[in-house]
Amino acid sequence: MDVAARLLLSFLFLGLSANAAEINLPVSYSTLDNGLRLIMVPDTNVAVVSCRVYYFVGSMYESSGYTGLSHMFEHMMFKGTRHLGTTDYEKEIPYMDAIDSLDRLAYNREQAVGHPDSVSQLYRRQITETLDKQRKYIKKDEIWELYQNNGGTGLNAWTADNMTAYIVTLPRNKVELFDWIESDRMKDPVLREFTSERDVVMEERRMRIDNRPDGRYWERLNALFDIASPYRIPTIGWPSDIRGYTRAKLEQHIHKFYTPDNAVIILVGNIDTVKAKKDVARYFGSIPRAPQPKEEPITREPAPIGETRYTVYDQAAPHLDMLFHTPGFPNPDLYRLDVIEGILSGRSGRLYRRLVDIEGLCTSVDVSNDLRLFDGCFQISADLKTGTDPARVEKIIREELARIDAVPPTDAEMRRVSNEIRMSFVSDLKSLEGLSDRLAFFERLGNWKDMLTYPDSIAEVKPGEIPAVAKKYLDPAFMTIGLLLPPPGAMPPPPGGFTPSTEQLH
Amino acid sequence: MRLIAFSIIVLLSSALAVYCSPADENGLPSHPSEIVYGPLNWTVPLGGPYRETLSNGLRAYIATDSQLPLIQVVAYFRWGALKDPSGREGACSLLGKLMKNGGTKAYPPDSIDAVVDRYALRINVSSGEDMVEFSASFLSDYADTAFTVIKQILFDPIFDKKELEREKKIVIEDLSHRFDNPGPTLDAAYQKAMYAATPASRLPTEQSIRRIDRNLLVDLHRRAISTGNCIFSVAGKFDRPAMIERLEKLFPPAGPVGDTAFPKILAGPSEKCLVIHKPITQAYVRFGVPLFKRPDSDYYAASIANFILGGGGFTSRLGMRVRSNAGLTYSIHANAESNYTYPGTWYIDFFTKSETFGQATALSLEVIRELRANGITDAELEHAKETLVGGLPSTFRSPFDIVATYGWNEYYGRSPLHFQKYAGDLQAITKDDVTRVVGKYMNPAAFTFTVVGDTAALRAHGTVEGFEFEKLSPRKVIAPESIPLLP
Repeated sequence: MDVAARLLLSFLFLGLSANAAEINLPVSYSTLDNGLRLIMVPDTNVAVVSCRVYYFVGSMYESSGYTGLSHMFEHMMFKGTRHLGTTDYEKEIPYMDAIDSLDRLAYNREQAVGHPDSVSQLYRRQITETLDKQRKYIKKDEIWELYQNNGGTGLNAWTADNMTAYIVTLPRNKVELFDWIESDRMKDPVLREFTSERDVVMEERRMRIDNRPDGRYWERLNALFDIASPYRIPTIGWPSDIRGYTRAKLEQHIHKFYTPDNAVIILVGNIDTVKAKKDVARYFGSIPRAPQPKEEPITREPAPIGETRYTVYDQAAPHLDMLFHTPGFPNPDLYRLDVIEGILSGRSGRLYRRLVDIEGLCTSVDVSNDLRLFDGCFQISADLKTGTDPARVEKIIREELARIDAVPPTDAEMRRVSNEIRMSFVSDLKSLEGLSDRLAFFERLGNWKDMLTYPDSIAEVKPGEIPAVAKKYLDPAFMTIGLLLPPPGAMPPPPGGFTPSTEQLH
Repeated sequence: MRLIAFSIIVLLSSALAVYCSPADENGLPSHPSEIVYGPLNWTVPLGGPYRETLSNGLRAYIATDSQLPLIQVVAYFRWGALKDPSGREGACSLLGKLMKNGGTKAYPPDSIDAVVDRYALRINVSSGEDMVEFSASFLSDYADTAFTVIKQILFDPIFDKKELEREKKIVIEDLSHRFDNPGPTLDAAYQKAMYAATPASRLPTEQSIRRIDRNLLVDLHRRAISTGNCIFSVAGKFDRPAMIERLEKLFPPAGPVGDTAFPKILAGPSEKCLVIHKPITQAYVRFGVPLFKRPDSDYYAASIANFILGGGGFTSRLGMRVRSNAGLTYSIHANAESNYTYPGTWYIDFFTKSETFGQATALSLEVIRELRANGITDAELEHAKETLVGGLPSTFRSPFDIVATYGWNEYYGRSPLHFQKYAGDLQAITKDDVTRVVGKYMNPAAFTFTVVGDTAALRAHGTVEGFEFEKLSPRKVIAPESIPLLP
């Protein structure tokens, strides 16, 4: 049966005029019977196509004991399938089962004694020996090699709180390779070399979080800001959860979330949209939906009842964060909060002018209004000069917030914000990959078309609407404030007066 | 619990069993290698059609692109931190910051930010070792304002003293935290270890920043930022003749260019092992040997060898053995540096938990020894060539990519036909060529090691079969804050 003939529940080809008709972005959107969405943006000026599949799953779909599983699967997706990365999948199965058993024995032993010991090490050696036997049937990193041999660049994957992406950019005549590999990964992933890859993830965590003062600080601040919302879960997972991963846990996660009805493919570049659509249907059309529709997280962040204050002393540049709870997307107040972000941001913005230029207390200031599903976050961050009293910085930020509460922004400020939004919008369209991620971001929030209308939505904000929104959401009485400071009494290094403590051992 | 887990596995196996491989439906290929692709019909674009020498002497690459209401600019000036006066390290970096932030004749410091922000101009001046790079992007309907600002920043900066002092304080603040994280610490220490007492290893310090004054920046600006010392690339929504006319007005006539040569530098390892003590739970390791300055006839063979050893990601030998098989690191790379200004190095770097520092290092060395002893396979050679050549279409995507790439190409003195010859040059490399360069440069006995980590843990876990940390001699152990004081 011709799969293409039964695919289209809906198909749109939109020459949508974005932002005052200055950009004509020919976006095509279609949906297969199995729920897989396909977005394409042809661009005949290039010789390549950005090919990305986004699964709408990430750490916000994880729970205690399972944190970081989406990220772990991001790694495992490169290990192959029943057809890729193997010479005989059936012969691998007993080895993987044996490794699972040994891994549980090692884990249980470590839990019982509280740390790795000679017994758990013995199990680990047996895992290595068993894996070596399995490797007789493994074709190492075949997916990577196939993409590279066919001119694939930017081959990678990434995981966020609400989605996971598998990405490659291919010459325009090689897009079918993406269809083959990604449909096979969607259908038949195989979690081979699971235990060694779990160790890799633990190394990544040490690098990104545990051995970076700012990483350690931010992970905990984020968990304090959201006390209930699943945005509090670290994308890479808590260390104890990572150690506790099993193939069974991960397979359960895959079964729930890595299905066509929870995915969108985005192709941007020199693409024949008719052929590409047909190929996507041929390769992905027979993959069934999830047995049960995905359940969105139902836990919402309760309204804060007071201020949360968090201070960490560590070897790092002094830093301050003020975080405020905002609504999830869509909500018209988010556009007004974007305007506030613009007024406060930039070198000529109100905060930089006060904190860096006039008072000389900080070296930089940053403001961001994060658009998120369900629960949003407005964040003000400042890097403090050594010796700056963080209370003074906090006081000035409070004063500036109070000023926004009281007086609408000027026309000049509104024009500046409008230009900035327009420039950001156009800049996002510069790269094939950037456009793809932007479309996926808005599709995740509800509808990719919102990307095109976003600048106009900002332009419709009236200055008089700003004070009420600031008063409603940016109330310091309910903020979470984080301080990353040098240890008390720590002195800055003396100016060049060190004597290297050399140690000539041999 | 185990029963539940087992049930899930069985359930999944059943569910997965009904799925089909691609070959089972619609006559799809049973393996990606069976896909028949159409022709790409693409050739590497030439830079020549975009190249102009304007009436004022400016070398420019100009491309129109009306897809977006955007104009993008990048300009390369032959100068860089390697030319910082001794004792005033950081001067070139401050030159870049102050050209914009220090105000101009038409836009004093308190107004330049306002005009840049008002029109959402993205303007940056950055300084590397051997290049000062000016970049800008802006909406095309603000082109007049943008080019007025660009002209001011490039040719009429005033280097306001108050702004200079403010920027110096910010730089000094940043310097005091540059070694908070292990990655940048390793970068700085490795340069010290490999290029001791040369301009390539100098680091700015609080004193060197304090010594920089306005007069020095004015002098550097006069010598570095000139029409004759610039290669300018621009693409976007504009009329080409009008852009040429605009650039001829913007840039003053080229005068004689002074001494823009960079100092002669040779890699000269100072220690066998430089250890930076940092109380972390991982060891950050980099070991390498001196390489050559490009152009060099060994480059393409080294490039392929490097790809096979550790530059090729997961499919490289180090990626496969140390990361994928052993799970010892998240990231391991080999890098045969492509330096045009002074000889580069060929190094391997990775990080691993302290407990596996010796094991990961020994395994890496074993992979290198095997490469030296047994050479490479035909399949590896083919894979490396296909990958390195196959990425070319991604290099030249937009008109801006083309003009920026060719501007950069000319800056480093490469042939205008470099990219046309690239595939042929790579295809000519043989297995013997690769074996020869590996034997010539990648000698484990010659490696200089740089390690950032907890000294006690490194010692406790640094000696295994194939690697003896304690026997690396001479070895120096210092605190991160002492790195700038090394020669």
